[in-house]
Amino acid sequence: MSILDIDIYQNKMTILPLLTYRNNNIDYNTVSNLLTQLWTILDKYDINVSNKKKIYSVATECLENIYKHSEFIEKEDSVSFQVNLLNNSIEIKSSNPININKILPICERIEFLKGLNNNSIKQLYLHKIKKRGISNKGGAGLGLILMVRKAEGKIDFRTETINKFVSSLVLTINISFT
Amino acid sequence: MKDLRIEGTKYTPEIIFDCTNKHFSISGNSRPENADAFFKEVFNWFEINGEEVMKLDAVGLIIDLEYFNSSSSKQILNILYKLEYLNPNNTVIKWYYDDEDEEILDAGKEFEEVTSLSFEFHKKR
Repeated sequence: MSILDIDIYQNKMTILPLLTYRNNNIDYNTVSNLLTQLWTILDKYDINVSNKKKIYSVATECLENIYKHSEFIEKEDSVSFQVNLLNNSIEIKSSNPININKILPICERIEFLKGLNNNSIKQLYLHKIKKRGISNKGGAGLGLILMVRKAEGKIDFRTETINKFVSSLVLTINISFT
Repeated sequence: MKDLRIEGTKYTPEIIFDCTNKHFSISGNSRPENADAFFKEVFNWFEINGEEVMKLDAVGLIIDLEYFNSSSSKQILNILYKLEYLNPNNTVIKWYYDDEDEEILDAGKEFEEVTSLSFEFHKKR
């Protein structure tokens, strides 16, 4: 991030890309490196610790979901992760290929979670950490709930067909820091 | 009784369960690639040493985490449930948080809500 970039942002540029990753897969070292870079970048802005943790938390769950649940396909840039600075908020955009049999339930789940108020989503989160087992990929299935919760419901999605077996799930998550 | 000592890394917490010196702590960051596999050693330790933990007259578990991901939160809660089962009356959770870090404080309050253990909240600065 150069001084020029920051100047452009301060002069009311709407979107400033902070971090971008595009490839046809992602490994855990890359996940870790992206998160380290993100924390360093966020340190340059006047964002309080709690909001920084919220942004980091959503980015972590988003990247871990991509790492653990993506289908590998031979398509350039089929996996993408981007963090943008907007006026008073951070936007996290991701895209990754998912088996078509799994993508509809995920979309329905996001719609359901978006419809919950703050208290309901908190109660659901607590219920899940108390009751739910760990998946064979090591996730507790809590990531999506946590992402929607931290973003206070500001999460949108769309799907893009890649082939008859796989579609891309494109997420846009907005985390306010005012 | 063998103590449990897991060294911390940039992404995994330091864990010390030392019955001899009554020092129990989980600190650092917790974002292991596979939380289930990472915390397995802790639950194995409880399997072997559960009876000793039951006999302790005080268990003060320090939790001083900068960050933990959602799959770690499940594992941390399971550790609390273990202590709740083994020694509920003598266990105190000492939850540390940075002054400005409401995220970590709130997470501690939520763990307090879902267990019957005593919690103490300690501001770090």
